[in-house]
Amino acid sequence: MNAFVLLVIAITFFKGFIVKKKSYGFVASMIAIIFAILMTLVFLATGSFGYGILGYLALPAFVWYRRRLFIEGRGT
Amino acid sequence: MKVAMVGNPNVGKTALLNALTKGNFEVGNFPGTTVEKKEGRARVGGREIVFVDLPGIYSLEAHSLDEKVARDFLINEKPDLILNVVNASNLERNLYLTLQLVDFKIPMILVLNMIDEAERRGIVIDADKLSKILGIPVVKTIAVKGIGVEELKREILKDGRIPRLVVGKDLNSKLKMAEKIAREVVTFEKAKLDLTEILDEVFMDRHLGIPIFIVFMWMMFTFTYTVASPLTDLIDLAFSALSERISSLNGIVFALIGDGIVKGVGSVLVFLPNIAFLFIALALLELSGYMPRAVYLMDRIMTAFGLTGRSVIPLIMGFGCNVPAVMATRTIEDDRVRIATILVNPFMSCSARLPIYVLFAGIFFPKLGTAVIMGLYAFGVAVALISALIFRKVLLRGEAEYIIELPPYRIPNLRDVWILTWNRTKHFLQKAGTVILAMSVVIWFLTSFPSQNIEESYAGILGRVMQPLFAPMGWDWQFVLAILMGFVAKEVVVETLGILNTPIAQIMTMPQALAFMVFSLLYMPCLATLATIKAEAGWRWTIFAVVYSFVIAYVTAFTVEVIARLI
Repeated sequence: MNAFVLLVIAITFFKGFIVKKKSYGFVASMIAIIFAILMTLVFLATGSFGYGILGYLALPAFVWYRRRLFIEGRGT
Repeated sequence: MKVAMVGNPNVGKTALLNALTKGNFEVGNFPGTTVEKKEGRARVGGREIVFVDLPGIYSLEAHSLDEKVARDFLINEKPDLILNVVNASNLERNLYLTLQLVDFKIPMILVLNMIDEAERRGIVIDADKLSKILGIPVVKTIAVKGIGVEELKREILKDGRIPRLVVGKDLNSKLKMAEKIAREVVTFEKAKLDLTEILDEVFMDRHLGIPIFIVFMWMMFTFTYTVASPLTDLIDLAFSALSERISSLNGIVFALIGDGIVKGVGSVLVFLPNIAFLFIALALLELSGYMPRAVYLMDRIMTAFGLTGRSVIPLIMGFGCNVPAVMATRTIEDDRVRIATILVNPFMSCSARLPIYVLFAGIFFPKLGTAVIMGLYAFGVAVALISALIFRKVLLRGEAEYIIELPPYRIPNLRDVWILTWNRTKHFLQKAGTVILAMSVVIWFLTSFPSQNIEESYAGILGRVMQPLFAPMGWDWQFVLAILMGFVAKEVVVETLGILNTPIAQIMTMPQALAFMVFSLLYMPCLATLATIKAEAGWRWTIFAVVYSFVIAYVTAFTVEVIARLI
């Protein structure tokens, strides 16, 4: 199921590129960060590592999308 | 002074209650119902005020249980003041309820909440004009930030005013008047970028909406069970150690306390982290505004089975544990759908049953184990949905009446999340703990007398006596006893077979094993779940759940055994 989560995040990013709407990238990066926080909690609780922790790498993308959305509005 | 807080769902009544009482509120039920009631106290200007948060409703026409409870409260309890909490972003729709409240001739104050959201959307409301039209004070607030609360308290001390507006009694008059008033007081300016629109573009996307919903459900599931697991293990360890320590002392009283009471209390408290974490997750989903989107996305699928979108979350939670899943049905407004969801929830195979499947699949289906187990889960879902359809067509008939409203997204206030979680968890402990405690003493007695040897105890005798009932499935008395013990908790099934050193592979055939797994999947839920069902739905439905699930389990297991034997 963790692979499914990563797949959905990837597809959401991809759809954003296809339809040229930043809202998809914004949401995908947001979900990736939330998932990374959850995987961190799982790691702390059980010691089990999940690749979802790498979702923190989406943080710069989240900041970028947020800035572009609030300055430029939706679209490219 | 008693103040009733009335408003549509998701307008921020709980956040306002929290702000007014500084978190000093309790969650319970309205008498004789399972409708949640939040009541808080505060000292305002030297006066003791009791705030009662009525359920979120769209009208007082008493079609649903929530509406009936709210209306009955206003008629019978006669509050001194009504705080009509309104979502400033959707004034016209909210005013319909306001105009119904006018009929009660109780002093009112209109609270225009979420004013920041409205301004972000370019909605400007002339509060002074609105106050003149309605004849009552109007206060603008942002409850989650505590803005406007002091002004509201000052108005509360002035006791509000009885609305002097004359409104027609019928639905159409009120709707027309709400529209007219909204047109007079609301103006639109250029909207700032709307976060809600941006998020909804993706969360409600035709192709991505449901996968994203599944992702959030999986995250909630993981949070509830995996992240809470160390706490669960700790509580289990603590109570097991305490129980062993006490029961190791000589004397029947110590045995009762150790093996009966401490073990019994432990069996409830071991669920506590899961329950608390579930309520945290649900509170985050509710307060963020995502929950109504999830309901909307799943609604069409669920409607085909007589349920609604709101049934999905409790059903998914049932895969972890049926206890918090049944508690989660409180979010379902329609009572018939809520009862149906509660009754079918035990068919969603909880995690406690997994050891049973793993044990038997490992012995009899070494190569197909995963497929068999997945098949059992899918079969459970099918039985749940078909049962729901039958219940809604036969026992719980009627169109489900509900409105799905999509409120704006908000970052949940952590204090609100904590208070909601704590109050709901406390309520669970009080309700489920008393029945479990009593039954654990009974179970201890049955397994300890007249002999400490479980084979010769009343429970063992019971297993032998009940065995002929299960003779059509060909199960030995050890398996019947394990099934009976599973009534306490499903984990005990495997534990019992272990204590009896049952040579499973030697005394059972593959068809019998398959029938046993199917029976374990479907038969009556464990004691903790039954206690929760009783708390949420009453004794009648609890007894029905026991009888129905037993019959379904028996007939299905027998059929599976016969078919598997013939193949």
